[in-house]
Amino acid sequence: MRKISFYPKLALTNIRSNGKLYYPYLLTCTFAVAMFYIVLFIRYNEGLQSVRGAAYVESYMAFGSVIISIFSLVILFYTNSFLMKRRRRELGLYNILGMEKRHIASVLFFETILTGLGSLFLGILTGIVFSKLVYMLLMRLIQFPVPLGMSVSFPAILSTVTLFSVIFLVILCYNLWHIRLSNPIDLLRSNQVGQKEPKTKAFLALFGLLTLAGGYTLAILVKSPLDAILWFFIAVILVIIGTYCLFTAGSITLLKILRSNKTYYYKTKHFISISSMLYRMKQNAVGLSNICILSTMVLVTVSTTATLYAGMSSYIDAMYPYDIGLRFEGQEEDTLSSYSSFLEDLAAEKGYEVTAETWYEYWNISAGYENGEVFAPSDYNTINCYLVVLKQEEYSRYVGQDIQLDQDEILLFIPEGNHSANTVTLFGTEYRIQAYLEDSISQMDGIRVSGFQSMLIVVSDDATVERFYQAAYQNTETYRGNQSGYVGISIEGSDEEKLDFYEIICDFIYKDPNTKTDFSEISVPNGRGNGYATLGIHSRQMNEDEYFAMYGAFLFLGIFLGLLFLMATILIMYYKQITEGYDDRERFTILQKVGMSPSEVRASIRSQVLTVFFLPLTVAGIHICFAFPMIVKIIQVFGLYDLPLFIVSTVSTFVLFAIIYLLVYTLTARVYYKIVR
Amino acid sequence: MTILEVRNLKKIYTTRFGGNKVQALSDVNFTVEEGEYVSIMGESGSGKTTLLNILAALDKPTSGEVLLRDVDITTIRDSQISAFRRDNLGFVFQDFNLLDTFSLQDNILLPLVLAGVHYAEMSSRLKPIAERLGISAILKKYPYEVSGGEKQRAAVARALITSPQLILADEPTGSLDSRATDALLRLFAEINREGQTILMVTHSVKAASHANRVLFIKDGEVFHQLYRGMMSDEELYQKITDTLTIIATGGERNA
Repeated sequence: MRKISFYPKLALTNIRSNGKLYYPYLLTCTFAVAMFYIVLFIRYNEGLQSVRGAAYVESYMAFGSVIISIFSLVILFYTNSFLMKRRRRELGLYNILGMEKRHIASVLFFETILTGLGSLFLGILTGIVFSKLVYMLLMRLIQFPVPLGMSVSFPAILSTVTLFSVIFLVILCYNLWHIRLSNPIDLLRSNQVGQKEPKTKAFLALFGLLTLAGGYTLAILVKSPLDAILWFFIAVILVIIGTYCLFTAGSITLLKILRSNKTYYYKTKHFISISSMLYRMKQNAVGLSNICILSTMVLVTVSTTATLYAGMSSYIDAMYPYDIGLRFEGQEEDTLSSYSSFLEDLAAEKGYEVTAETWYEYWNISAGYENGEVFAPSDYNTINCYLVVLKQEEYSRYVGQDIQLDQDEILLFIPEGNHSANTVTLFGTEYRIQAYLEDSISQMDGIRVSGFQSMLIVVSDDATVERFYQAAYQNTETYRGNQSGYVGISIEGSDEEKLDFYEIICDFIYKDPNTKTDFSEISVPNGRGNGYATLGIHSRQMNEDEYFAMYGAFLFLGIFLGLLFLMATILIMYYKQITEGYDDRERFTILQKVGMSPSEVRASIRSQVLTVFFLPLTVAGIHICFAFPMIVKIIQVFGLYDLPLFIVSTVSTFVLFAIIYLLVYTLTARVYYKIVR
Repeated sequence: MTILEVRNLKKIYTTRFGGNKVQALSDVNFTVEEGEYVSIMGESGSGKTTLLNILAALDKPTSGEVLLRDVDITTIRDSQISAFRRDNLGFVFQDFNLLDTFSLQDNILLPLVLAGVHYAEMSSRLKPIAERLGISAILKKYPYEVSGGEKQRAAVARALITSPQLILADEPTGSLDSRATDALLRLFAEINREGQTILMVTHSVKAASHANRVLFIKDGEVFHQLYRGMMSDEELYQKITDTLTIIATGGERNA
């Protein structure tokens, strides 16, 4: 009986006495378990089904759970291998004191069981306690009220237990395999083996420099939003490769170059820093590049999702300026006005008070664009420009003021670019720009998304439109932009009432109740001879809910994964400090004996540690700066043009992150100094 | 001319919880003349290490004076003590205390770099010393790549390069095999002959027998001393052994 309980007891003692190493590991396990449980809890939550856009939330959470599980495996494995390295000496001692390898194996087995069970139990408990809170937070983000009350998700617990049992099993196998391979002398000595001087890998350093430069160049040069999405991942991969190469090979090459400059190297200030940094970088390069990349990921994810979330309402305002909007294509001459009055009548009949309404007609024209000139495309491939053309009477009605244009005059809106030119050449004819418009017509934000050069043009009359039309399609028969129209109406009342009115309109327009869905379009033969007219009806409120669900869940995931990455960063930093501490202790005693004063030693430690730990943050900052133009393009695809908002959110994310980083650094530095002294 | 004078040196350690007081040195007095080669012998716990730490300005005595060329090193301020140590003392340790991150050359140059000497000056000083110690060929190597004897020679070079007033050696042969020990002791004798003052703490009779004078410490006091006079190393060795026997079997002072 005694013999059986010996190993578990020893295991427990080991965990306790190695607390400095073990507790952060336990904390990480617990945190990972809790996060995984919470994400699954949300994913499996039945209350979610009543949320409009639940599919988004669910798929995001599924994605999140995959990320967390992969990441947990990696980070726990990393931590464990660090622990094992530190404990080799202790295990070697057991071996010498007469424990056989199978005894050591059973100690390790019990240790793993204890950590595994402990962190699963604590993690799930934490998960259960916080799951409701986190769920409510998410629902708040997606603006959906939830009832209070506690619940436990058994499928989530089951999945969590399964996943982490597997992870702990893998870790145990690794540890046992490790013990099997080593002999006691190696185990005892492994801490004292002299470190070889790192080799210069100039080629790798150069390669890193090139990939990093490549990634940066891509990020800066990308012009259109669609290209940005396409190239973003390539740029990310290039930058990651570049970061790893530069941290590992680049830093060492640079330090060696500095060292070979005798007069620079043999200075009190540089001598010790350069040679110690050489070894520090050798040991820490991978860890530091991990920190750097994780930090960049946190910053990008959180700032982007926060921007999207914060910019959502302005996007919705632009896309859905009216509570209910009808989009027409290929409509007949009087369609729009008749629909407009039909909606008014319907509102009056049902007792809704109309607060705003509009209708206007426009043309979509595809063309070629080069050097500030719009021309007729020779074939489909040369189309790179998208025009929205309105007649002045339509625009006057839209803005509610009388606009007077001459035959050769236009009003112009371009999303980007300079507003200095006074004239523009359209299909061979020069037009005078009477004024640049500040804003596009709401609802036509598509004009900015297409990735083409696009413009909104207000012209004087039908003849001009017809001229454009004929010119644009003289060579291409493939696709003809159509006459399009929009009718919008807003009413007084709550979101529910607005949704009711939407339902009523749908009932009237779609005769068959089975076909009515959010974005479905109906087709009716039109009288213009080019096929069918199409009509789509959309409700601002309904879309709003979906957008909130989508971007809310997106932001939630961003923050959640951001937290996970942050935790990994903190953990890596902590263990780095400890390793450094043990390694440096000896070195600094020697330096003091040889004639360095304690304060000089402290200053030297300080500057080295600061360099090592703030290097990743600095590089992450540089990465963010270069990623910025690309991310700006990408969020344009999501319909967001608010540059100041993005700048504010990026800068504040960075500042917040830097503060947390600093805090973690200060805390871990304390552990470090305790070890060194 | 007297280079080092130790007067009434006393060191009392107070244990951490303030209770017991341990007297490591009770009353140590001796002088070292310029160009002397002195060994200090004593058993474990006799106060050797405490004495050396005080001489090295790594520790402060409870009372008494240590005069190095008439400067009392126990009164030098903390802020200057490292520079003083760097400029006036050279150290050779049992476990070499070479830094793994530096090549032997950089290890040797370390004190000069800390003192802010120019590189040109450094290399001109390094050259003769490295040749003298026979380590010119391995200067680019790292401590973990060379033998114990070579490491210790590099450490001696590091001690010599600042041309210190006094070299303090703490069990310099403690980690060496017999051949390396012989070589190191010969080296010490040679550099002493060239005028370098050396103070060596050891409990190896063989090491001590190479010195001009041997001080014996027991219970925190200088118990006895032997001068070489006209004796050979072997005769001194015999004499030291006899003295140690007397000390161990409880002989009277100055027997």
